[in-house]
Amino acid sequence: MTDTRDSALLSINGLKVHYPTDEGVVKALDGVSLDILPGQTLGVVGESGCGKSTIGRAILQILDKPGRVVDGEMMWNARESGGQTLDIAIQNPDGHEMRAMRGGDVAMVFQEPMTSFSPIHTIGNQMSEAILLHQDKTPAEAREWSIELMNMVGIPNAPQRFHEYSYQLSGGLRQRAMIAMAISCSPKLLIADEPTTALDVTTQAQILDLLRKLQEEQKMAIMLITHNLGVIAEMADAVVVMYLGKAVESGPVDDIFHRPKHPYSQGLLRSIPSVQAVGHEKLPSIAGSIPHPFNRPSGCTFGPRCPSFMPGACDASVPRYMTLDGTRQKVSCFLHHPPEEVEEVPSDD
Amino acid sequence: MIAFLIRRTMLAGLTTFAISILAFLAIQLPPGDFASSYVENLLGGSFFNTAGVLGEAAVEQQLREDLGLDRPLVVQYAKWAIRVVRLDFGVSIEHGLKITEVVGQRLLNTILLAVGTILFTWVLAIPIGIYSAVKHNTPADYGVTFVGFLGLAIPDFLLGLALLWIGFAYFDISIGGLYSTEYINAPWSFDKFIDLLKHLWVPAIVLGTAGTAGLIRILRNNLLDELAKPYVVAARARGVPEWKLILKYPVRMALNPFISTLGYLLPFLLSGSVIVSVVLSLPTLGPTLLKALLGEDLYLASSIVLMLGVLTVIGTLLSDILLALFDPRIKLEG
Amino acid sequence: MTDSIPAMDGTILEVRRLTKHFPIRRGLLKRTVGMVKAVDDVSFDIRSGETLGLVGESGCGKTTTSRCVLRAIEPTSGEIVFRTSDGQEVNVATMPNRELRPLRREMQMIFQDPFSSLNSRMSLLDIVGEPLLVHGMNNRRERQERVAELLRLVGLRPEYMQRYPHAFSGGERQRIGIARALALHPRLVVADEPVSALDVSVQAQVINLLMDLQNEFELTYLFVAHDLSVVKQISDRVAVMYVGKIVELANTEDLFSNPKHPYTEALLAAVPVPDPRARRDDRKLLQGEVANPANPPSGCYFHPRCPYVQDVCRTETPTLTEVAPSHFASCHRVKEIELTGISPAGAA
Repeated sequence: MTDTRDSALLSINGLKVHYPTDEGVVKALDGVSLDILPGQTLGVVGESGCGKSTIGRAILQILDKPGRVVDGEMMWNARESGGQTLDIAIQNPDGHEMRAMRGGDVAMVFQEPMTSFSPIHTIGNQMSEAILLHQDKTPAEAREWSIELMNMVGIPNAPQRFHEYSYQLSGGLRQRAMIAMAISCSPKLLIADEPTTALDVTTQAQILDLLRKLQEEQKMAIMLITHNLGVIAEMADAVVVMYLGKAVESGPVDDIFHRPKHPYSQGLLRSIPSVQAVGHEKLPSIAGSIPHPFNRPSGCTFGPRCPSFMPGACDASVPRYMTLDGTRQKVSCFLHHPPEEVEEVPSDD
Repeated sequence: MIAFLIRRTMLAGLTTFAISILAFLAIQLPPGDFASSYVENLLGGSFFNTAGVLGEAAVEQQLREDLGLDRPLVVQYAKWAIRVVRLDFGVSIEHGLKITEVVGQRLLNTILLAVGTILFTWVLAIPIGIYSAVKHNTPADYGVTFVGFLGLAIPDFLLGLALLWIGFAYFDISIGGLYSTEYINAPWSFDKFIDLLKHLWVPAIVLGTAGTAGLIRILRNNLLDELAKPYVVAARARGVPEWKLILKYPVRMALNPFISTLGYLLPFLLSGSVIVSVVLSLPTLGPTLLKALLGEDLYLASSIVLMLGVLTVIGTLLSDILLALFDPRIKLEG
Repeated sequence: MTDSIPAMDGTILEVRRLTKHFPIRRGLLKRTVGMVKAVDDVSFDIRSGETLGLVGESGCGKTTTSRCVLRAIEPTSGEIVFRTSDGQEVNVATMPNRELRPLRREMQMIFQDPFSSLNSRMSLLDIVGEPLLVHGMNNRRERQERVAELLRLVGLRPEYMQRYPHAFSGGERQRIGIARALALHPRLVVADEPVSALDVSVQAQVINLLMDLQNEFELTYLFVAHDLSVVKQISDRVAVMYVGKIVELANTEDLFSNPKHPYTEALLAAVPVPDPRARRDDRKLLQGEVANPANPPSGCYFHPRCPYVQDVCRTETPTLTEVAPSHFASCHRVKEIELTGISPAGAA
């Protein structure tokens, strides 16, 4: 894995984000590692409570209060652009570096294009704001650039739309505007958090197509966070599968979909209905439901729902997350690394 | 936007019309009419004064004809309304003065006091509310909350009395009233205005404390809601500095309820300030209204209610327009 | 046209020329300046024991249609003929409200949002038992037993009946909603996006449950959803709606493998397939946006976005006609164009 870490644009290792609350500590991220390579799309997939959205926010240091990074590192490789490697995890969230990074090198697109725009400011106002913050432009130039970007993402009548409010646009156009704003400063990494979940399926196809086109033109990396395995299959180069604050499996997209190793990935893939499937047969489903964050099972957190649960192993210790020999997949499961190896195996990172 | 303005203005007009009818009917309520009660008042308040029966009746009749009191109610209302529009409210029975003379200066004082109180409230409540929301669940926030509850809990007349006593006992000054004696009947001048400002702060604090505490709570809670909205996170994610972000987006949204309640502040202050005005001997409308009601001087009372009603309608209309300018969504709905 | 769908034996519901218009009020006096044709001349049948899937994008009128069927929304015009358990045919669209009441036993609804559709101040016993109480089961003991039975049926433990909804996960709450809907032995269940708020791994459980219950109690479903994969999984037949109209109606397999309407084709092409090897770089992307139902285009509502558009499409409104046995489509060019559907995995 050393080679990918060196060439990675962003390398996250053992990231932990905790939310102290009155009832206890919610471990939103409980030691997550992943690498994002330049120009590639990393799909982050998982169900509610798996922490996939928290990763995106942690990278930008915009975690909701009272969440904070308690451990781990997020190495941002700025060497390509002549800078130093920066550990985002130890930066001051309000400091100059983080503010320059937000909307500059790293931009974000959100799930709800409606509520992600201020309802009382024009689209143009908010787009220009992003440009003026990060680029040496006059307001007139920022306006010009905004309109050009809006044309680029396929918003008709851009000069007029510039002066409109988000509620005057359709859902698809709003998301296009959000994407135009995100790419306004040529980010190296675009974090797209459920960018099409609120959209209709034909609009979703348009937006995914747009993201692909922009990625090709701008050579940016995309971190695509979604619960939709179909979207991942269409977009991602590599995939990270998350469950309850941990990455349980990762690897190239084809391997994850055709040779999943972790019982959770396997169950997830089997349980989704597909338009390609022959209908009206019962779907194999994963038993039980996602545990409450305060009631995490001990050992492997997927244990109680796992069809291959091994008493004495899976509930006793946490399996390591490591590369499987002869594959490009990483997995944390005792089916693949027997528990007795745990203590002896030297750190692979 | 234009349809919105026209509709709101029409609504304001209708409301004013309704208030005026109520005020007019209130005048008609007591037995007899203006002429009989005026005459009765002139003659010392006795119906059974037989000595001047003839003269009395003649005066009454004359008055009635002059004022058109023998005409149908609708005509009377029309005549009354025309006079009111010309700011001729008639004569106060109790004071024997034109109502505009009784009310004029006091109405101005009331409005000045209301403006002063609002300014005091907002200048204090807005920054504290914002700070409290941004730093929520910190000792600073708890402190503000505690002081706020104290402010809500202390009756304003008590605060007024306490301030009076402190001023008198420790600084040997009288802080009641709105003007120093030499300015009370003086025409308006810059010096009089400065003198007013010197006095205004005391009632403004007394009247504004509870309101300030309440507004801090409202602003804090509104802002907490807004701060969790996706557009705030989105703005943060594009690198907007935190304070700029808070002031530009959520604070503007959280201020909407402030603007929309602007219109109701006047009647609220009037009814709430009677005791304080008595305690601090403020020459405002509150005590006058109270006295008029107690003395059954319905001409005066309903004139005051009418004026305040109209002012409230205007205030509400203004706050609606401000709100529409502030929040583009309202324009579109209209 | 509408008569081209003959009522069949075993039909439980016949919807004929159903229309629902919502007025648009604007201006100074809030005058009605137009109509949103949310449902525009819709006809279909549901056979007893089948699942009819109703799909379409937001604003296509699928939810309004389903609400009209239950008379939760007052239809503007049209007939909704329901065949009751004692063999009577009643027109739900025009029935007086008090006569509707006994019918409510036979027609029930499952909602999308398992969080807001359950009263958080009521225990499971009260939530599931409420319809029983309303319809006259006054004995508490009897009610408790029936609720326990219903909870077992949907895979929840009867011991939980004193608990409140917040103690349950999204999937469990949806089960509670299903138990409630089944309390009175309904024959027709309208399910409006019943799994779209659920996590992927829980979705499958609820779909399976709905299919099991259907087999056990011979339930008939009107299944409204935007997710074509889910609809394919559970439906026997599927109706596709676009801007208030049904544009295609067919057996599920036919509709997915051999669509006859260009909109259906585009919809199928847009669904992301969970297999990276099935990426289609050459797929046809639908351009533009869904037409505004308040101001729909002339002729065929789909013509501004249709890749096969011709002059006739711009001027004349097509009607829903039977283009193959039991396969209805409303397209002028249905005989001339060859459309691509989705071939089952592995068969490609």
